[in-house]
Amino acid sequence: MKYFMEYDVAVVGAGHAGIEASLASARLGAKTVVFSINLDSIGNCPCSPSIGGTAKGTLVREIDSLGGEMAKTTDECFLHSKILNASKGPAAQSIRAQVDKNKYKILMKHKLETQQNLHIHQCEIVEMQKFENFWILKTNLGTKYKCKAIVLATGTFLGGKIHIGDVSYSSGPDGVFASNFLTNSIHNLNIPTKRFKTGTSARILKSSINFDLLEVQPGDEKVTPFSYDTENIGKNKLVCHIAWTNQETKKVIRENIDKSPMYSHKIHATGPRYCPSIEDKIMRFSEKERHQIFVEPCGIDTDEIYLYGMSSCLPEEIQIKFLRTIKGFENCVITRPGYAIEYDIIDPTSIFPTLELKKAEGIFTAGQLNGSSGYEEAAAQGLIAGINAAMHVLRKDKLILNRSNSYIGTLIDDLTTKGVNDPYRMLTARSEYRLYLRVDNADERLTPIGRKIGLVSDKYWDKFQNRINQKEKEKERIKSVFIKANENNNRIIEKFGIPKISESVRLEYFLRRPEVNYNLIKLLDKEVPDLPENILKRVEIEVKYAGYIKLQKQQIEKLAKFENCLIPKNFNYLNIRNLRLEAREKLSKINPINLLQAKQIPGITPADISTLIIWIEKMKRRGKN
Amino acid sequence: MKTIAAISTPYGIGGLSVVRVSGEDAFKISQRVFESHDGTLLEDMPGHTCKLGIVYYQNRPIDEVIASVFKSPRSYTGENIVQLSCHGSMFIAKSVLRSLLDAGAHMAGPGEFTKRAFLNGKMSLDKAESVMGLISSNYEKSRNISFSAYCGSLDGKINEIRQILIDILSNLNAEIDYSDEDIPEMSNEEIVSKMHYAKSEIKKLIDSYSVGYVVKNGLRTAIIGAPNVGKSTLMNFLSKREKSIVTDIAGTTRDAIEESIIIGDVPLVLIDTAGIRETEDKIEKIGTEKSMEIAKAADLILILLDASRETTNEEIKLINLFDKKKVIIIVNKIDMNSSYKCDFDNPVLISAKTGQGMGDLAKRISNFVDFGSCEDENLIITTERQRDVLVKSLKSLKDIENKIGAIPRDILAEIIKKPLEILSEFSGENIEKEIVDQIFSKFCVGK
Repeated sequence: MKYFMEYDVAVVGAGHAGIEASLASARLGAKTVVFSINLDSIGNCPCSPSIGGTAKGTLVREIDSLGGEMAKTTDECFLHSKILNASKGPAAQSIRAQVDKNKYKILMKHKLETQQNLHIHQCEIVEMQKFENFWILKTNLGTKYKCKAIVLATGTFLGGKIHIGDVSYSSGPDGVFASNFLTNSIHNLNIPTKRFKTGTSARILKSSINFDLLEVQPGDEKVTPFSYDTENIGKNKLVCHIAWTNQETKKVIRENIDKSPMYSHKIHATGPRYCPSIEDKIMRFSEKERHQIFVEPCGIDTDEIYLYGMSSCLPEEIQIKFLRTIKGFENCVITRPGYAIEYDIIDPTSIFPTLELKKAEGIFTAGQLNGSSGYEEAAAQGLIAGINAAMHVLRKDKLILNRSNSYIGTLIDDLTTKGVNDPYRMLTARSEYRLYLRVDNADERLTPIGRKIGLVSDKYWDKFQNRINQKEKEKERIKSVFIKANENNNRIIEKFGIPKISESVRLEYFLRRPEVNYNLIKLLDKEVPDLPENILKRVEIEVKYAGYIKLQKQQIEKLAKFENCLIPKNFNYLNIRNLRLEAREKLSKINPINLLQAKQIPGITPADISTLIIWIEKMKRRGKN
Repeated sequence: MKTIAAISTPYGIGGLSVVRVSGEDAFKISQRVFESHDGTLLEDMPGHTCKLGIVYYQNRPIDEVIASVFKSPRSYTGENIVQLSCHGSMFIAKSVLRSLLDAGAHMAGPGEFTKRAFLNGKMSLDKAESVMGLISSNYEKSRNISFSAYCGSLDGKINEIRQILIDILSNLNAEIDYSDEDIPEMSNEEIVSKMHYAKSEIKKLIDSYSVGYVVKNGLRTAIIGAPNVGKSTLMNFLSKREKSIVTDIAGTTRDAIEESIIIGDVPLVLIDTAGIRETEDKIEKIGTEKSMEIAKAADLILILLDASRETTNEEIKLINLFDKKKVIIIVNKIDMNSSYKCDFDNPVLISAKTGQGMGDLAKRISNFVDFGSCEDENLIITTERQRDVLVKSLKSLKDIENKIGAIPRDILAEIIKKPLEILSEFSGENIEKEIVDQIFSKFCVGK
């Protein structure tokens, strides 16, 4: 057979997952190609033009810490940035940034174009077949590619179908055509698929909005970069606004609810619970007087405005009707209507935590195809899939992150162990280690891992080590410094609204008090070294949270016992007679890699785990004899 | 797991005896001893049906029985079950069981069917406990409590308390995870007031243990007094048995004798003790010391006086030794001195010999346990484990309350999981999932 080209790794799709996958794979030394139906939609943000948010922002930091690209590119083209939950404690905090949508695409495309070991190619992949030890990919032009590993990152394009009112047509987002053939090849691998649905809101023209009637939402005075590598991030370029729906909006939507394809049951796919359309919100939470809308600019060179919170798939004429009931939108003009989109996903329990398909060695899957939702969730999986595809080709150990070191690990464990019933969004509530998995310490948790894999540059690594050294040194220093209880000090302390101290106190203990921060300490202790604010902040957090973090770490160590107990790859659960039938079936389906994963499977009881421990122990002993 | 068998009805003669077989091989093993009249095999029968047939023991027919078939997982234990209802004779039931054991079944341990039901996820731990309560309960009040726990009223209450905490937690999480949405923040005052309610409900359950304990274990009741005041006679009268040796010789009862009885509504574990007196006799001295120990550990102390003679200083000293709330003073042998005048408040005058005053005594004992103190008879905890879980959760709620003003929300959202986790030990549910589910069902969030 003749092939057009041969590659180590082929990535199908160049959205947020495909970008991280192809860059990681190429950077690790695998000869990589990435396919996109339209090269100008590489890195497109078809929904909100924003990156980050609670938990999601932490994912972006984690991607950066491992050597991914999303954080850097966001920093390079952000328009408006804000720390969320500033008052709710560091473990709740995260960054959310509006990006210039077009610039983001251009930057990402150029990064792919200039990456060594990486080719980009415009085409639709229509077929995927095993041939000897290789995978053959066929394009819509009949061209054939030979590769050792594949990353599928098809987003909403597989079987994509858009619905607006009673109109529906085959399409991906933003006018790019759908990919309607590749699902067959997935079925041929004996992997079932199902349909999910998501949606987006209308874009309206900036000049048609009366901004005087809206609340201004400024970004942070001092912008916090996503990437640890970014210096001189600069200021916010513009402001966002907030608008509100009202009784009239509600009335229009209620009167026309039968025109929604969701309500007339034209769409059978499952939509996201966390991200319902405005019609869903109004029907389900009818007691709520008003709903908030974020009015977000899509870029500097465009007047299109995104309306966060107003996703809808009602007919176009109804969309304009209800939008015009909103204060400030009385004369608004729609540039693109909102829509719902249906697409194919695979059951993520059919992949290993390495993101490799259990039934097809060498094929890795990432992003919405795995039932997740969100750019950040996609990018996180893309990075891991790309790393592992390269590891597969290079015959090295694959990377599995875990629940206790990252949100990425939590995300992948949730998907591959529990499966999905609706599009999965990352939430801090999904982690049992929230106080430890913070946005500030992502580097400490993951950069050593990224370095070991080979994705972290020397420069990044040196900066990281320097940061940690400075932080540790300061943590050590405050153990031996005492704040004296003299009049002068107490005057300063009282100015900060904190009760006076009656005897001298160790600085470390003083810093543990909730109200004490380095602004105060700098006034009391002239020896505070001149360190960047973020490092002092980290010292403060680690000192204040030490007790709680210690408890979580103990819990992590307790669970490490289960994590370290590996289950042999082709373990036959059906033979374990003592195990409940239901447990045998579930374990056989998921095929957990270790006991910790087995524990997480819904419906598996502590008693099942005990039985399993005994069996594994028995097998080990038998093996020894 | 091995296939187990046991006689499930009480030992003794009744209209029916039921022998139960549970496990993967229940049909195969039962088939070796049972033959239905129409030749149908047990494993071919649909679940929840029965057939009449003959049970054989050593190839000899021993009884005509009804075999009921339950198929996994739709059975009490979640395993395959065969229940053989035979005629009510201990001899027959034992022969059926022996025949099954010969055929390959293993003898079930105490409570093993219920334990399997728990392990197979057929019932929660507190429900399993209430089943054990039902089995061992021998009087109505206890049976009522166990049965209502079996029906889930305790479960329901614990869930209500957990729901309050889940409510707080899901609100905190929604605030954190949807910080960019207009989710109303729950104030510290609101959280504290919700926690107060949870705490008061937990306290009520903890308090119910004083009744639950008695219902489950019986009130440990020591009969004490000087030698020869009639302690053993009283014991025998109440238990209607000649168990204690009654003689006119003082100090006959050397070892404590226990007897479980029910007086009025109250189950008692009655303990007859050696007479208490100052003595040089080594053996009697040991007896006296032991009696004092038993009295101290008892829930209720019946101090017996003798109407036929003056109360001694030693007896007065004895009465003053104990907490008055735990003591009922009984004056015995009132038949020998009807004009007896007692120096102590509120004595019960009886004659253990003639039965005079026994009604009064029963009333006093019944009043001792205040069943009315529990608002709801359905909400009574009966095991030390349940009490332990509740005490721990209460403590953890108090800890949180003390900190609430001084910690940010991210820590609050973590530590409030602790009492929830502790309460989950009642039935063992997965809280992470519940919280996430609740966020979605309760809050209006979206892009």
